[in-house]
Amino acid sequence: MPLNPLAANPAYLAFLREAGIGDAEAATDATTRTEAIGAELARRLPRIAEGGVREREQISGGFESRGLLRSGQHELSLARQRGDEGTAVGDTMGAGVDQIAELQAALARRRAEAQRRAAEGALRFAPGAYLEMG
Amino acid sequence: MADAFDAATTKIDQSRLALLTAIRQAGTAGKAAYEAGQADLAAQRQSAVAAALAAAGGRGAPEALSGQLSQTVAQPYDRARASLTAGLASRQGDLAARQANSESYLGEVAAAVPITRAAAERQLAELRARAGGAAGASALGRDRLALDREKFEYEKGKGQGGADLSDSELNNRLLGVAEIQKEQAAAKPAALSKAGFGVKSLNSWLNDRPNEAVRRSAVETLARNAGVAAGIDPARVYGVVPPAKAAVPAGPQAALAKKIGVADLGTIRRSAAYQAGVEAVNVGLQGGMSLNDFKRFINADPQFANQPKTVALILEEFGRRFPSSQPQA
Repeated sequence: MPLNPLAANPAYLAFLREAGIGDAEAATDATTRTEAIGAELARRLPRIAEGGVREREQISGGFESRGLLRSGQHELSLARQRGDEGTAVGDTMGAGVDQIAELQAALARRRAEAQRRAAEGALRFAPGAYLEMG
Repeated sequence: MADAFDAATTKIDQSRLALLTAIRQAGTAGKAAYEAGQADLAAQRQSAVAAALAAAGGRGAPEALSGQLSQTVAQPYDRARASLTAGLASRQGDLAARQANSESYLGEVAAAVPITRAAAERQLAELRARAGGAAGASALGRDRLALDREKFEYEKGKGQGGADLSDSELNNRLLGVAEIQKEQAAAKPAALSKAGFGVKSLNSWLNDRPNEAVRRSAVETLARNAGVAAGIDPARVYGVVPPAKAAVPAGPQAALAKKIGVADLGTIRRSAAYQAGVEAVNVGLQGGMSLNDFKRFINADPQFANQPKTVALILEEFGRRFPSSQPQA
């Protein structure tokens, strides 16, 4: 007497296999795309920093040529440039983080759907079954 | 011999439903990305402010200017961090709403599926009441024993009560189960014989039992006992009774093939998809699934996608073996 018709049910096993494979593929895809975003950030942030160094050199060159290298205006211009650089860094990182969070949210939505299908699949395949939770 | 009640003793191993809990962990990576972003921005802010002050100090800038410089450099970083904080809060709100939906859904699943053995037994009681009669009583005994056996094996496996249940005790219990099952198997045809069943009345009795497993069990037991009574080696008797297969005359077969729209039903019947479908029919019938529910299930299963003729034949099989289920709108 088979105690567990679900375990011997090829249709249900195929259903679980499909759900498991789909979940693994989605998780791998999300990881790959997250890493790609991380790699893009790793490329763009140093460029912003390098661009900032060049901009500060130009600012200082301009003040030096006018004999104002030791002026407070020069220091404030450099500080504003650093602030602008911070804005660029923040925008870049914010966009990347938003993309990563959206990827994870999509994965969570997909898993919620898989969860619903798994639970309903169990109900369909063995209407008299019971779940042991926790 | 499985019957409708076996389905009710099924335990859905939660390891098979690991996805049930996946949602609880999902989304944390998104939160982690925000937190990592904030930490990175904080470090860059500190570094930018320190670099600006160091450079200004190196050029002999007055100390009084340092506060203004710090604020000018830090402000954009602070805005960016505030933006990330707002994004995280928004995302967490979304996650919380989704989590609430998930919890609510799981609550509905729990309401539909008993989550305790006691609840499962209540469901069994309903099934028994529906079946009634000798078959119901027999099934009742088998179910109790099956639950007992599963419970002992489960507890033994988990080490709960293991000290109280030695191997020999478990064997004794299981032997007891086997003995009682044997008695029940013998009692069923005896009850039929005692009631004076001949072939006609047996046919009538069988006609009143829509559950194929119950009919098959009774007929097989009668056949075995008849064989043993006739002096045939029980080992051979028990080995020679094949699973019941309803013979379908050629006429209806041809009509069915025409209805499905194929020249030969054999090709479909030999396909893996159809075999899987028949397995699903068995489980569906055992679980008391309606034709409508079964249709929905088959249509939702991707392995039957784009196979309308196979699906039609599977549904015919379900309807043929469960004649009381009428097509519903």
